[in-house]
Amino acid sequence: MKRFFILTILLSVMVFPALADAQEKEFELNGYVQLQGGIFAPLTSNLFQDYDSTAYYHNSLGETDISCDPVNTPNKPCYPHSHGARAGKPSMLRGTLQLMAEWRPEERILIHAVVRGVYSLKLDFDDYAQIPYFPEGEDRRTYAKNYVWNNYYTEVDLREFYVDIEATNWLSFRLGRQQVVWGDINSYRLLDVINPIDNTWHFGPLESFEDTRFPLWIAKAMFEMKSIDHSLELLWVPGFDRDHETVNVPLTFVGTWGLPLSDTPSPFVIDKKEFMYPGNAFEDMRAGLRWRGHISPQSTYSLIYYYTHMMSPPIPLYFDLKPKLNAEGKEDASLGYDSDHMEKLFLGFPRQHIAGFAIDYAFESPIGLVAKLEASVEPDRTFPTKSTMDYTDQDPNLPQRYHFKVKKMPVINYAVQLIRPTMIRWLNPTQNIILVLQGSHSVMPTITDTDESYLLQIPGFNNYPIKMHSWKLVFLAATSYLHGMIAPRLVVAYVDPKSAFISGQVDFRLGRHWRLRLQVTDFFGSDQYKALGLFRDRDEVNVRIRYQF
Amino acid sequence: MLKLMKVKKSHLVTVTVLAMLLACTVVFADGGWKKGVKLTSENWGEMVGFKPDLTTNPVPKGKVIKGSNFDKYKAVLPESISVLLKKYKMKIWTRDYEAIHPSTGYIEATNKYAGQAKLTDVGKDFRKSSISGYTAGLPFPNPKTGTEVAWNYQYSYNGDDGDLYYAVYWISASKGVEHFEEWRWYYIMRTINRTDLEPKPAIPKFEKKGLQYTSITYCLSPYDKKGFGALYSRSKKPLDQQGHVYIPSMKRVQRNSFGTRGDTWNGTDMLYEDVRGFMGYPEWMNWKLVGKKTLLMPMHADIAIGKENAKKTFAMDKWPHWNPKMKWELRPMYVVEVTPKLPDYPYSKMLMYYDAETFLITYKESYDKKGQLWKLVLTGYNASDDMDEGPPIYGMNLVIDLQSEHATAFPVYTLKMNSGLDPDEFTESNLRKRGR
Repeated sequence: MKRFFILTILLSVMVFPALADAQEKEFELNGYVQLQGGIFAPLTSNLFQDYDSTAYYHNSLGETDISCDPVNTPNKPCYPHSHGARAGKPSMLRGTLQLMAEWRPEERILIHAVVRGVYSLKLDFDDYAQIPYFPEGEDRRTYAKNYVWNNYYTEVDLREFYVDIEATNWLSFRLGRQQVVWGDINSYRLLDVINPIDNTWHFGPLESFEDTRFPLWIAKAMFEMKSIDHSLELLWVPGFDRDHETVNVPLTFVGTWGLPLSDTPSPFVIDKKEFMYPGNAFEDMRAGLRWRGHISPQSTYSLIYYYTHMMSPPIPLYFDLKPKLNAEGKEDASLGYDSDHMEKLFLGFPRQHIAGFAIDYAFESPIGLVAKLEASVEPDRTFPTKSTMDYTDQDPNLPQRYHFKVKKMPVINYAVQLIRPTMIRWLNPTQNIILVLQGSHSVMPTITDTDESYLLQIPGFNNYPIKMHSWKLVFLAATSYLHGMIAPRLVVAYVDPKSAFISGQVDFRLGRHWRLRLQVTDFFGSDQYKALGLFRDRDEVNVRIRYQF
Repeated sequence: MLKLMKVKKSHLVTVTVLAMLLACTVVFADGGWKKGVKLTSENWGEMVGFKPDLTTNPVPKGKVIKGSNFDKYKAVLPESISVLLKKYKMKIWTRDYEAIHPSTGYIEATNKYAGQAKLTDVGKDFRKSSISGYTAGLPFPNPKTGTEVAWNYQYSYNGDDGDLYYAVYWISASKGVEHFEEWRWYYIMRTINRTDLEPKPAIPKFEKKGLQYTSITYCLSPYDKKGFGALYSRSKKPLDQQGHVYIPSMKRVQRNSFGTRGDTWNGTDMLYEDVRGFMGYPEWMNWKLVGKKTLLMPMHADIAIGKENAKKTFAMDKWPHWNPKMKWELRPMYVVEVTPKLPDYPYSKMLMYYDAETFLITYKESYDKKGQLWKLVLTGYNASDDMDEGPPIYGMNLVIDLQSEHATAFPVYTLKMNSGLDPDEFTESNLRKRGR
């Protein structure tokens, strides 16, 4: 079926290229074919010394010097010490074909579709993927690698398919599978909360959100009050989507660009993780609204509310212990339950509200910059607990079931962004350099010392507790040379605590059809199990070549 | 004595009559408009500007001027154009002069409001408005200074709105066409100071915000730029443009700062201020009228408009790949020397050539910081379909960077003017709504 679909797409590409050179037509078909590949190459942050994955057994006295394989020895206390692999391992190799078609049957109606097919190589690093379930008797590394390849690296999907209807001069609809982007600040996604994202194939900030978001089936209505230059958008997500695409893909599900194995592995043997995705149920519908308008020609503001689910991380909510074995080696619940063996761990994506605002202002020259402020309040964000029995309650009705003492707390996030196109003529005599500085701060005003002792930022990372304050800073500079033929870009990001990445990128425009991108990214982190330190072994050189039509 | 007096008296009368006749001729040649003079489509050119001198250096129609015969016609061409003819083998096809007048509405507005606009010298305070009392039409018929010419261009007749489909070609003399893009640009040229379309003289919601111009532009191809769109507007005051851009890769509308003057548009050879010759404010520059000449310029250029004609408008297959094919005629031209007040502006000086009937810029020379000729901007117009109702039709634009031997050519696919665009189209929500 997939092959038939790909063949159909290829045929379309052959038949319709003449339609791609468009003025504005009733029907248009455009797209690209792309090959993207990369290798891990230890860069300056680790002085060209690559990391290796190491793990050691624990015994009752503590850590030993006996090394172990944390993937294939899940039933023993094997504690990872470091994560990484030898330099030169591929970080990706994927081919993509994307087609975009638009048909305007009449003036007020437009039908839009995007189809994407992706084929990728299997990657060695994915043998560290912490997938939901490993069948008995399988080599876990091989199984994980295949699981990732099957579920995330190959794809044929109708990504977008919607109809735009201009019902009246003041009322319009966009109905169908689409991406909706709210909020004004690019990197932080404080209010860009409608579509979940899939960062399984590359480090998120290095890819366009357009490519990493999961489009959802959405009904969107926009009321325009043109006399006062305001608009109201209403959004309804009925939940027709594939369950696992209603939230961000958990970064434990892949190895290459996912989270490493925790240095504080669960004391439990876990047979299966059950992810309780929202979707296809009345109670899982989502809805929101955005009011947006202008205060003056120099300033725009918007107010946003959205009722949704927590997209990330999945929260371990409860688990069922495995019955003890009887003398014959069979499970027998009457004997009680094995206190360190979970039959099933249930993870959820709790409901939450998000409300916020964004405002911008353009300052005249010589200040000449655009300042943006964006804030969001999550009154009921859920935080996971450490994965030990100390933070659980037994279910009153099911003796094998224990509930984690997760806690809901309010979180306030805000971010400021300053953008200034600046002529620095000794660096670029003809084109300005876009300078962007953005910073964000999250605060949990009701947090207590007790909360900090057992609530976690990432489930399973027991040494990575939540904090009252957390900070991020991003600096970006971008320009172009030779009439836009070469466009370099530099991104530097700092994430509290003491971690960062620097990414340099150069885009080449080779005529009308060919595009080439070279990207080098270096990750830093004082603690390899916190913030961007989790990726400090993923320094990468990446190349992307695209033919567009 | 009496006899002598009689002779002297008769001489006096003769001299007086001759002097009056001469004075009239001078006034006529200099632009005859003064307060109370009624402008019509017949007397427009000679009243608001001056009549071209078609006799001193006549140029017969159907001639082809090129490098080899440039010297014969150098009196009717800007000196800098010799580079294009001699070095870059450009050709100029000639035709007869034809007068141009603006629409009936614009002439009426000029009759009604001309003489009311007043200028003040704002000096270095170039963010301060220097004009007051202007309502609509041509503010300074028969301009006496470079600044008045600049203001006449600022409020020159372009119709009240327009909808343009065009292409942008990046051309290297050595490599030929490097790249091209296709764009749509629709605009309300006069949100206030309107003369042709109702409501006149202003659309209330723009007047309230102090905006004199608004537009939406978006890219149609190639794929990586397709869907990029921008909504921007110009204030009545000499401020930076305000606007939003839609970035397809972000699927997001963002407020954009157009605060950097001297930045090139879209990586082309053209600065934002070079659009239509000059897209800044008179307050940003110093203006000095350096000449009133009759020169060959492309105002009835017979440019082949249309997507299929892009490569006919410019000889892209032949070195240097940017030479335009169009007709030139003798035109009355104001030549104004322009120096920037803006700090760190890339041009040290510009020479702008304004058509004295339309006050449109057809030719512009830009000089670098060392005073060397850097860029030439050439704009060609076709005849209006109906002068009583619409302006000359913008036919092509060409910017040549002589120092890097690179050019940007803008062939026009279609252009509609005075079509009555809906002012409600020009909203940020509309830009957002049409984003893909």
